[in-house]
Amino acid sequence: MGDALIEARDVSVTFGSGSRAVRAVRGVSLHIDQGEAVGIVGESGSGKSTLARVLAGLQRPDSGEVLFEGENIYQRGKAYRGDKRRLVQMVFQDPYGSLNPRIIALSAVSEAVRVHGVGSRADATARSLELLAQMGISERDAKKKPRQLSGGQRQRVSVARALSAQPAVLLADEPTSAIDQSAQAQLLNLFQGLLDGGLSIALVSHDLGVIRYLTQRVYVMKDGEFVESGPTIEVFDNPTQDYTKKLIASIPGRELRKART
Amino acid sequence: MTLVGAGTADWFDVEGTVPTPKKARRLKDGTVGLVVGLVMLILLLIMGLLVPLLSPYTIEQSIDMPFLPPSSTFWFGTDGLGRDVFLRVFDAVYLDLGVALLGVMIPFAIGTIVGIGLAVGRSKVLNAIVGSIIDGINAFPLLVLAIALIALLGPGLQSVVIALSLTNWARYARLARTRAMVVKQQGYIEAAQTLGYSKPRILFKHLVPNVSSETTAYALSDLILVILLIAGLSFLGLGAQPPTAEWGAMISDGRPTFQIAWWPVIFPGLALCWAGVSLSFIAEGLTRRERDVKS
Repeated sequence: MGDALIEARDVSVTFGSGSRAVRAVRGVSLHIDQGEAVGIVGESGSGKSTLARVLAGLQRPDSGEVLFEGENIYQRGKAYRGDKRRLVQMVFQDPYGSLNPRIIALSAVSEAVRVHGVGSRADATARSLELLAQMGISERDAKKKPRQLSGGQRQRVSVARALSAQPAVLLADEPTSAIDQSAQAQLLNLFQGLLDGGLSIALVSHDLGVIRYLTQRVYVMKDGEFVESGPTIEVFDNPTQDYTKKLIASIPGRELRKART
Repeated sequence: MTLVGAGTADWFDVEGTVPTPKKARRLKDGTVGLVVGLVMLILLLIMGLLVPLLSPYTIEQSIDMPFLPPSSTFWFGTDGLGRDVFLRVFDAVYLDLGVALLGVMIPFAIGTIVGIGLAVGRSKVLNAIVGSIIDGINAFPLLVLAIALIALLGPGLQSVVIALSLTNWARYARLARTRAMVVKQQGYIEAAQTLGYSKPRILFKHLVPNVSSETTAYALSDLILVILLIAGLSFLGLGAQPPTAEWGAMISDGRPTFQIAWWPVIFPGLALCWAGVSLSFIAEGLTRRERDVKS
């Protein structure tokens, strides 16, 4: 275990109030270390997306704290003050909503590059094209509006945009759930490349195959709480909780393999 | 093989009206409607500019020959006071369209700002108060409220614009608020937040353009409504006052003598329709193109 980059301590989030209150996240603690890939799995509505938003600074927790490099990110008004803001970036679930429909891919990325202070407009464009190329987006596709791009392409543009801030941690909320199989594989390979480059990734997913492929450590979430956590391989091979067993049993590939043997 | 089927095939072949893919696309994406609408509007605007400029008469000048039917000298005839209807119809173009434009742009601006402000702002009290004012105004038909306000303000085009500004903004505000609420939750706004973009940047570059595209589309169709409303109010004597040349007022003027002379009524009416149809072509064309951007 290295130094914790992000640490959540006893975080709770409640939506609504009174009898209709929904406790989406209930006293959850986790840490993401330098260069590590951490998975958060759970079925829909288990609170994993909310937790990701809390870590991203988009959702203030009702109680508990989130530390980034040992410092609470939710101090007074804004989350992540100053330079810290750029170090934690997020990729969203819906590839169709995560890009402004009026702005071409290249501009979406170069806007982020320029905001984070890279010289002239020409430099920013060059840097953006480089980032997009790294994500497998050609210069021709870069000049397209989001509606002309496929789901997978949009998602990769979103990743390029997030990377333009040169983050230390990338939070990915179900990045593969809305795109087709081959696009998923491509995105996961890109993530693997980013991990090799030293980026930390927190991958939120209900797809255990994806989690198993990419992460070293996993948290299993149910009804807003972690029911199990540990090294991914151990958790997958020797699940101690019924819930985890059920999730693992639901991987389609596994079922097939079992059926054959 | 039926006779009808063969017949239609022949007909298509002979006339060459089978839409080519390109033609069909143009028709579908609104380009054709847009061009037709724009040509109609520009034609009207050119006439509105040239006719008063080139006419030997003025809009108030009587040639002492009332109810002359349309002829080569007076294309649209003369009205009950012996005034040139042709001149008066086209003299009214800029007045009618200009007042309507003001009557749309002021509510559009107020409504969009208020609506986005409500969606973005955090004050629940303000939201509740302004929200119920918006709902209150929207509960009444626009015409009824406008007439009531003009009754207070006194008749005249100025009162019409003020009355429209005070009432019609609520429709834009409701639309802008709803749309802004949706846009606010889109991933690109949240991504902009995590990327640390400044609030003005998020607001003006990412939120406002995606809200105002919606309100602009509404404003265009609203413009047609407002043109008719202004003519309608003038017809009732609440808008343009004589001797101002205004389509609604002209129709009202000619109405009592319609049975002996149809031209002082029909021609302003036709101009009104022309303006409405051209704008609805443009509105429809733009809406289709916008739909293309979004999907």
